[in-house]
Amino acid sequence: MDLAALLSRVPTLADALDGDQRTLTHLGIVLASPRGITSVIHSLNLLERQLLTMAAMYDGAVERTTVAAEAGDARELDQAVSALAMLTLAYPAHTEGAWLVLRPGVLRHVPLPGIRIYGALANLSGADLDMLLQRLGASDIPYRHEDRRRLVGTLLRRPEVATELYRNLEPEPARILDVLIDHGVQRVADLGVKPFDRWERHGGPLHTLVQMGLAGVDLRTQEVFSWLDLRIGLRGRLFSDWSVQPPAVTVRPLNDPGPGTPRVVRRMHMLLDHFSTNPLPALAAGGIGVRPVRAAAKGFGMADGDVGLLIHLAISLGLVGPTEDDLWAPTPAVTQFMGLSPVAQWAAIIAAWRTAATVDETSGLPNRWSGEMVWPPQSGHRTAVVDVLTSLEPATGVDEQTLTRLCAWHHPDALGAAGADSIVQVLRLLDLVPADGAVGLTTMARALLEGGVKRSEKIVGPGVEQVVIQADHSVIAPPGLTPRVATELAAVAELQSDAGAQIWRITPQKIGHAMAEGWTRDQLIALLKQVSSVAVPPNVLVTVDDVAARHGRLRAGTVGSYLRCDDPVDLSAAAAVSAAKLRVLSPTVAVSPLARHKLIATLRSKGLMAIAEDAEGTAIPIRRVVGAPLPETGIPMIDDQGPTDPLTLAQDLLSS
Amino acid sequence: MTDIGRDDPNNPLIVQSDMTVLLEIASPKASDAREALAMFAELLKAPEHIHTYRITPLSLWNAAAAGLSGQEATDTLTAMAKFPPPPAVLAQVREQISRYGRLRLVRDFDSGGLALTTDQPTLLDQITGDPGLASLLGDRLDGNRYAVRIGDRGAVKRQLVAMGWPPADEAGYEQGADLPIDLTCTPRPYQGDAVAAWWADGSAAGGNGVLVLPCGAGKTVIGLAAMVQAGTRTLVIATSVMAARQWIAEALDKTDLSPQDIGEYSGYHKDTRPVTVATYQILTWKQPGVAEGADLELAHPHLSLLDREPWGLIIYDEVHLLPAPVFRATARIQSIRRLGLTATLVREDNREEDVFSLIGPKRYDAPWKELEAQGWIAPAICTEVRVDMGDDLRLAYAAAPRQSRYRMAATAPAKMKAVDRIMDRHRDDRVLVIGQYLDQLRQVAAHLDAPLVTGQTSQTVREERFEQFRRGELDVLVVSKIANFSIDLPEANVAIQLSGAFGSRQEEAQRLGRIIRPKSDGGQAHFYTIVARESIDATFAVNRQRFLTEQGYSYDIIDAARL
Repeated sequence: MDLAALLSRVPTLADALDGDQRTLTHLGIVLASPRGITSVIHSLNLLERQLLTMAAMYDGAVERTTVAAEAGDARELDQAVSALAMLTLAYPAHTEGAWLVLRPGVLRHVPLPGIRIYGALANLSGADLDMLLQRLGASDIPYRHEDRRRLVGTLLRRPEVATELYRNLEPEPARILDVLIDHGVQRVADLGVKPFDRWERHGGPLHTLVQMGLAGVDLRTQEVFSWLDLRIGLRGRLFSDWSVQPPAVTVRPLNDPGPGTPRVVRRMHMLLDHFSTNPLPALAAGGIGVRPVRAAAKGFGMADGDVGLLIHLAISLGLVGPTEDDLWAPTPAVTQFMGLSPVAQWAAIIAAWRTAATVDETSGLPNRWSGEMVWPPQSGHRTAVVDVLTSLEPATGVDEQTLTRLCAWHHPDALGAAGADSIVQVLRLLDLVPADGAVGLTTMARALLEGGVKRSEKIVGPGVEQVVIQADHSVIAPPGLTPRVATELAAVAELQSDAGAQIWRITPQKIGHAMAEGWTRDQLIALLKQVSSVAVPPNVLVTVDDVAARHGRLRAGTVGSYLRCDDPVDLSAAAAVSAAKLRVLSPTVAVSPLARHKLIATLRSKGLMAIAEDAEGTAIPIRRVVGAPLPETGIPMIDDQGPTDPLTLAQDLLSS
Repeated sequence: MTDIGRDDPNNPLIVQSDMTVLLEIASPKASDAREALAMFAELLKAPEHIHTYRITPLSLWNAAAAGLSGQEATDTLTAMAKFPPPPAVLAQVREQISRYGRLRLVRDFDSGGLALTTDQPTLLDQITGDPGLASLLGDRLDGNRYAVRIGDRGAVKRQLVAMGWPPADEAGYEQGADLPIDLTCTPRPYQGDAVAAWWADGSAAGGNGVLVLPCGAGKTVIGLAAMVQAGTRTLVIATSVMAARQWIAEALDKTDLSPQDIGEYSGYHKDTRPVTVATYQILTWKQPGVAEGADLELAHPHLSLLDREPWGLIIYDEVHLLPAPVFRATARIQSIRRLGLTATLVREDNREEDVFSLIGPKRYDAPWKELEAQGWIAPAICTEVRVDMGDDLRLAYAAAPRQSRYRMAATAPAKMKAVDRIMDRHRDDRVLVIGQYLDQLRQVAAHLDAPLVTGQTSQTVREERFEQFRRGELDVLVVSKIANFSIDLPEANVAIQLSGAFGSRQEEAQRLGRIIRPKSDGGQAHFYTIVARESIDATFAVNRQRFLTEQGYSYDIIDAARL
């Protein structure tokens, strides 16, 4: 047995053996276990999967001629059978008589594209089984129940038997059977017949099919199905299409950004930084809701799913966690994370994604976090997609459709058509593939996946903490700029290009924004001087000074009401009323936190005859604003105590 | 598998996946890298530390036209890169370079016309699927050739360039009538290099294209040297009458041509001589009453000048300003050698591809700072002087409609005081005061007691005042935007810019170009731009300065009070 080949094809087997369990005995135990067999089956490519299915359909052993009748006589068939033997799913060729013979215990784990009649008849009584066999023309009926069931399948797979059954059908049952054979499971309603009731006296086409043993109905879901055995008998083949070779691939050049700190690291830093000042509110159930995720996505100009995924990964890495105040915020682990090199941080994020148990790309990227585990886990699928990408030639990529076809051949379970968009979105977000264009591993990603962190770091070089600031306000950061510096730079400069080296531009708008967030002029200049490897050009410093000089000259606030008066003396008198809480802004204008009607009432109570005005300055009648109570009308007031408790009401009624 | 290692950290290039290339000037290999890179990449900007180049299909086709192979280009990038270049960039470089010349426009001696030919018949099948091109092609002569009418030579080239398949134009040129001519001065080395790059030993592969040199680098001399090289009747198209007359004066001064050999074709004169200098305005003058969409020659009768005479060479001055009708007319005269001269290939109308296909590829490019370092243009100190608008003007400015704000800020009275202070600093210098608004210029002229030259000044008076300035009889000249282009005032060493055209980057460069002609005493040039603080004038000033800062100039920003 080629153990290395086996383990390289099924890396999860190696993962299942840890520490002192790394012995052949343990491997044998794992291989014989349902988990082991399932893992191996998941590693099969499409051709191997189809062969396995054929063998399962023929009760665990199939002849080459049977397969070749469907798939054509191809050399790849024998290679695939050898691979199945190497993977311990089948016996080596010809050792057990037939061409492909499954090992014991394998058959029950083979995923089938429909229902085999052997399983469907498990609960059928012996007498009914005999009747069915006799109807199918069986002469020598075996003794054991399972052998009889096998015989039913064998007979249905025979063209002469299946055709004879079909020929005896009325047109309507024949039509329904055609649909079931060609398109698999159908809802009863979709077939244009009444809901199936087994006690229906008059019967119908479905009853005919069921009574003849040609179809079954799930009474709960009202779904009708026929047997794969019958498909072979009637159509002469199990699969409509056999792919004995991987699909032809037309590769395209890759928009590889080259060496550099992956953007996802900076994005993660930005998110952590954001969450440290704006912790995420926890839902009553303890998770994170959609709103804060959307708000963060909007703030950073990212898709909701991208931010959601990064939050899931941050939680997986322990970088974000719940606080005692019902919030989610960065944890002390962030400090340790930041201490890693940028490439090591990237590697940690990638590893977190590959093992993420709360993310299911096949249903889109998450925009919330509930902590629920996805079942089945998606890690194997992610590995499969990455494996397909790794198998491409370096510096090349494919379009998304080709990736889907490649995955469908190499790892049929890995990537449904629905999952292709999401998984590519994730790959792009994580900088494993370029942000646009063909899908293929970037130089950095390939180095990381094939050679680990050290090899990636070798490409990008040591982290860069210094940039070049030029008189045209551009800032050039070589590849490998540390996320810390990048995050700081983002406060004063706009990222214009991230195509390897980063090109930023210092703009008055960004400086103004930084000042609005609390940076001072001196802090900004200190930052520029600290990160620049050359003298900061004087005109750049002047730009900072210009913005600083204008920043904050206009100020806005919220007030309850204002008071204006053309005569400063009157306004001063009003300002002297402490209850009015007035703040004089100019000799003729003052503002108060009180609502307008309260301010007026307060001033009028002190003899200052203030009136209200609207936005255009037109006086408003005083009664509308002062809110004086209406005069007594003599009508008795209803004492409204609010809604009455029914129990109290009942008790009151009883006691009365 | 080969080891993916980090390349030499002393290498000066960083190749970006967006097809830009960063060049670190401080690297010891920067000079070599610049020389190699300039062959196939456009210099986008050249600030003080890191220059940015962009590799475009056009730049690669230009390189291919000059004989560069894809392997040589990728070798340059790989050998000079600090980090491994993105493979997609290398693939794109190889692909685009390989495209040039796979289609060729050649003489077809059977029909007497032209033929579009290739070694790859499938390529012909592919491109003729384009209806725009198919309508320009004649019969398929054989598997490898399509007939092309001589008059469609330019249109076919333009269409193929737009489709991404630039043809090699090997149909050759008409010689034009002979004109013996020689230079009476010695061109500078870079001027000689530029002309040699354009001429390409007289082969069909040369004889067309654009030379890019800074203002003040002597593009007129290069044009004259090209005329000497071609030795044939030449039509020069200049931007204005002033510029045309300067061409004539330079030709008389620096060649052995006599006044009888040179004619002016403008709104004032219609002389057609062996060397004729025309203006864009006269060529694009539109016949009144001609309907839209009428025949080009009917609408613009003076365009017939282009093929009325047996020209052997047409020189387009300031080719980045070439107007659309001249483009269309140029498409028909592809058998005449063409030379474009400019300080920048950037066109506001994004018609760089038309320049490539109709005038020709860029043949030579010299960075400003490089020529300054070699002493061919004067070093310049750029200063932005900030003035306050004053409370009253600030209030009026704040309340003014948006469209009139720039004028209010640009003409702030406080600028006058700043002009005075600058004039005090430069008592012995030759000063140009340049502005946009005539009222402001009149005030300044009256205040400084200096003559004013604007578009309203008659041609005779203009020339007289410029001549007085050249002779040293005037120290100060106040000029409007007419002085932006092609006015040769070599002794001016100080420029004071009061206002500009809403932040046009070219304008600032052109104005600086007025004063960086090398000085006889080797002195420096001073460029002052006076801006009103905290106004749209300051915002526009930042935009205007960007081109020059990208060329490596830096601005000192000072308050007027500190002058």
